[in-house]
Amino acid sequence: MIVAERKPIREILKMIEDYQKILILGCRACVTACAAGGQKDVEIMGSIIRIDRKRRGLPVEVYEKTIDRQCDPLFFAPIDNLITKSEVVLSMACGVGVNMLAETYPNKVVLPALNTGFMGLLEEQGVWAERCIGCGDCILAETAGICPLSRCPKHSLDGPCLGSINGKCVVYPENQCVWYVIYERLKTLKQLDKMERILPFKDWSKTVSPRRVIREDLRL
Amino acid sequence: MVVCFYCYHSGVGEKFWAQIERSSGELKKVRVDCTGKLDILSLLKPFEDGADKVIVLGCPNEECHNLTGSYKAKKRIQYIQQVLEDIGLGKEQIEFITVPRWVGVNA
Repeated sequence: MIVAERKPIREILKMIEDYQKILILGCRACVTACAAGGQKDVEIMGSIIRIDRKRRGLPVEVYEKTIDRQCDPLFFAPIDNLITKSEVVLSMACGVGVNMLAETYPNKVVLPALNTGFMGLLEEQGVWAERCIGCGDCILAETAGICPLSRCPKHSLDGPCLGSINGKCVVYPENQCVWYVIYERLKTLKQLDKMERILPFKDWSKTVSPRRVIREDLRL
Repeated sequence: MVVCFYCYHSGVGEKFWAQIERSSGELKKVRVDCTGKLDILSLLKPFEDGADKVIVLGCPNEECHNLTGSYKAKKRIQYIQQVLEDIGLGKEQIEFITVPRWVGVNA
């Protein structure tokens, strides 16, 4: 999933300061799973905005809505009138959702309520961790399904660095060295020979923005 | 107005209420099954409705009937304290007060 977190409240309140009719738009996809922009988070944000305006004696009309996905304009259709009648849309989706809203509604002010972080997973209750950097040249077949690029601060492709001690990372000692994890898993899978293979240089040109995937067989 | 959520299992007696009422003026009591059932939204709502302060009366961590209820409530209150601080209300507007369980009606 795409992992995001709410921006500081002060930053959000400052962004929406000049507006009275505010649509807070949540997304039921990744940001719901990472507890940043789902329906509950939308309701909490609405409550915070109303408390702030009440405290300052300023009028506000807050509309709260959560749609299945903000990265697909199909889902905007049922709430089109709500978007139209609001002065600003405070999107609680990831950056992709904010972009899609902005591209779909050229005349509408769209603001982000979240900081989009990374692609990751839920490591434990309340803790999300990065697992994919979207390098465009996946090497997971060689590393037992464990990504060294997203979990090694040095992006080492050739096994553990010299600082790794007792299976722990030298940069973040609270973390396991990802190459230790890879080694252990390869051992379990009886594929330790893969540790001896030398991976080719990474083709970082595939990470240059703006990236695009084109499927000619699907194009109209 | 002060809104006071209190745990069904905690031993908040008449004396305790009288003490809180003396210090807070208008008091709205809301009984909950466990303070761990209070989510962030239900703790923010009273402020939206005009409350000046929210107090949560819960059991000691180790005596919680549902094991982790008080612990969870404290975590959520910490979150709300930060929010209240950010919007300029001040984090002291919400607090968790630990009360012993079933100390009797006169406690």
